[in-house]
Amino acid sequence: MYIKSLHNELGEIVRRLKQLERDKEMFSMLLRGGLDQIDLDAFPKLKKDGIVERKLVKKVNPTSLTGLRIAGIDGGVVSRSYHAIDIILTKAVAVLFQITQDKPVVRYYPADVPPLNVLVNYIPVSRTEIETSSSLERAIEEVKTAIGVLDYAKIDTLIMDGSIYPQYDIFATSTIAARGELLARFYEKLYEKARDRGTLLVGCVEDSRSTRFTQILGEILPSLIKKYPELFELLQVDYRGIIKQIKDTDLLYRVLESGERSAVYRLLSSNTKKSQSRISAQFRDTLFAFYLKSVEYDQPTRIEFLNPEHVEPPKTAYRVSSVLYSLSRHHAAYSIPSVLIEADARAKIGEYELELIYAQLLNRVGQSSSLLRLRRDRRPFR
Amino acid sequence: MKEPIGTVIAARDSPTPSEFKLVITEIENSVPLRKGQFIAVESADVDGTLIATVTNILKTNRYFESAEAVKEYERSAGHLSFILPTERWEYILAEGKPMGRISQSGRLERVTFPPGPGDKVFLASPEMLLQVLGLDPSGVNLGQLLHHDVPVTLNLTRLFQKHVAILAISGAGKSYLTSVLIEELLLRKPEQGRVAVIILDVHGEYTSLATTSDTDTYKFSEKTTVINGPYIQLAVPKLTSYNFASFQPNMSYVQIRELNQIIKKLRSRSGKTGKPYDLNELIGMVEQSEMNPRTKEAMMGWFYDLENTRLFGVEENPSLKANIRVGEATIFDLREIISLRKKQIIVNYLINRLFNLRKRGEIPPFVFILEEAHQFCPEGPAISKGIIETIAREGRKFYASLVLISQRPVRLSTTVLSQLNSQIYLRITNPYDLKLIGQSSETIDKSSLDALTTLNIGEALVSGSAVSHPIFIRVRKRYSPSPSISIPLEDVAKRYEKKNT
Repeated sequence: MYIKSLHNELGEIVRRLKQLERDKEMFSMLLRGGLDQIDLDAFPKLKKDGIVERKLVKKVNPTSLTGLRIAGIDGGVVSRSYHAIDIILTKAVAVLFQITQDKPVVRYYPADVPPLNVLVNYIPVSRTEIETSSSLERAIEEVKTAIGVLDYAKIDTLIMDGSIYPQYDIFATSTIAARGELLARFYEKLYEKARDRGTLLVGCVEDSRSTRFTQILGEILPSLIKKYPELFELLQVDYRGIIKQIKDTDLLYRVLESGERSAVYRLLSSNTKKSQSRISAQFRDTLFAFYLKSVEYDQPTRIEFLNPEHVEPPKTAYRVSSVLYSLSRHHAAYSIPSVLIEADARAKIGEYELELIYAQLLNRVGQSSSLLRLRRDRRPFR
Repeated sequence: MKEPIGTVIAARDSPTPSEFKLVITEIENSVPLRKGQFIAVESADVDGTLIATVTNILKTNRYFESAEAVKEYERSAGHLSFILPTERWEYILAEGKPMGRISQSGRLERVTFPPGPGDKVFLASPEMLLQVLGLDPSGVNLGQLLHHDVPVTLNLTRLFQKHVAILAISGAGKSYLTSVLIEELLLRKPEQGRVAVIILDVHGEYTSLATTSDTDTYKFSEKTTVINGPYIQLAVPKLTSYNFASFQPNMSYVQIRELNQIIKKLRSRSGKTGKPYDLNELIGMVEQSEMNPRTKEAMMGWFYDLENTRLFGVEENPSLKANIRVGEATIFDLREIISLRKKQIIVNYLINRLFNLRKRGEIPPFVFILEEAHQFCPEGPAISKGIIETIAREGRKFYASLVLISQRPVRLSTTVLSQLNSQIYLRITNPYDLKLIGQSSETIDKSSLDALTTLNIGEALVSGSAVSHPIFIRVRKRYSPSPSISIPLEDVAKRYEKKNT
């Protein structure tokens, strides 16, 4: 009975997935067919609150990296809860590549084996809050390291692993709200420093779940269909429904060819800008993003950047995309910039490191109920 | 002790008293440690220094772990190191096998407690190795311990008293090593204790020791006598009926008894006349005897057969008693003797006589070196096999030592092989030989056995009673001139053609 029911459920899932796949494929194909004709200059409102380029898709050219000084920042975090406390370990590292003719000359900041930060939460909080807190602490460490490395060395492009905007939804009453506020201040400091040092600040979001690009597209699509006969066929499919069900990377994986990027768009919508005041106004309008598809069999990566003053965002996007494309097109199915691959390896925290810290605490404190492992971590039968 | 080269790590099921792993922390040398080297571990919680051998070395690098990723990145970039700092992720792991722990009294004790994770690892010092391996500074210097700056000086008694086997494929350096061994014996001073050296040289490979040359700094030629095969004569009066029986293995017990009676009569007559008898007289006596005609006929046939070898006479040449001298080498050069049977008869006679002389104390303690030993004491029957087995079993008590050299250990008598307590192996590749060595030597582990197939010329594994632990060595350069048989084939071929056209 149970097996029959599962079989039916799976059948339904398969049917749904296949249908979705067909719809998305059809939608992408039709959109791709009209790309050459679409000129977004015809929608001046867009520039203010959405896409800031004429064309939805742009070709990216690789550039010679020789002589460039590129830094990658990544952080690691491990947390574990005990009976009365939670332990969070974080570390972050900056990897500096000075690209020469044959291989990169590599330096690390603060060190090739960065120090561990040990944080202990003594107050009872929810599991979700601990998870948010862990991510937040890692982000703080990463941004602090980014600020530090800008003082340490002259850098042309600084690539953060992840967003360059504080993404955390922190409730005002939350015990960690203050830490969120601190993170926002660090980001602002990073923007200032990058601007002062003439460094391109870039964020590389590996597995973006964002729908901002498709939302913008969804808003202008009726007008586009009206204006461009090449898109009329979109009326034959339920494009509104599809737009709601597709995230940016899913759509752009189908639309972009390798070596192409999406149009540059504003990272923050006007609504976000109004409702969230985590960063000051002077920076809100300088954050942009685009999606870059570096290789054939990997999904596009969301690239965010801080646009320098008095430079058109598309010009900055041209520079950023060329560098990122050159750094991340070496594997047909994996398109993360090499400098972030190395940073990820250096920032990884092993479970054993947490075990070492725990053992030291246990050794010094002695048997204490606060340090009891959770039941899930000490089941007598596995 | 110098700077540490590594640290013991905690790995799955290790460290234990029988194995441990270490990570190399020394970064100045590109090759800081090699397989087969000896290392020392200092533990905080256990007294004494643990000595171990490196049984394996593993180089690893996280960037090269995924075949698919390496292929992909290298297809695009040429080499991973062009885009990633691969060399920064390279590290070396080694596996160590404890040999023992040097106690405070200086003894090497069995390891019953493992080294600790975090313990520092050092290269074993020469002093430690001397102690741990049972080397003797005034012993026989065979060369250098492989990958260590330590001379391998083997104690004379430990090396020879229970006999030596030198085993390797053809061309691996057996004769070279044996020459070094002979040189060492000839270089010993009276106060170190000297022995006589007798070499049965089947191919004339050692005669160069007797060659006078400007390069003979150590005057080996003055201490070496070469006896050419055709001049060797076996003294009939010194042979018993059992000696003859060993030359003619088909002789029955009754025939031996009859022959014994005849020899008694001949000896009695010889004692009265003072004239020694020869093989013809012995044949004459057999002919005149009243033994069963069929027995007589068979026996006479055998003696005529022996007579045809032209090896027998009334006197022994050379006189072994007079020629075997302490600190000197006597080489029996048999290269001109083609018949294996004749060679086996000579070996039988020589070893019998030497052993008897030694038992009576009429010659000094000796080392008898036998080339192509599988021809003289094979697993199957051979004229010389019995006496070699006897000396292998009993020689130790009379300080008569054997050095048997062979390229086919599997064809050697297992009885003899089991009595050769010191073994020196050079390169061996035959799987049957390797299997036999693995089965017959309990001190050699699989790793060392595997290494035998890849030894370079001049590298050897010494095991058994000569050393406390099997060791790999690089054989030292010989001091004496090399034999002329090392002339290249091209030169010999050219010479032949010139002579025959």
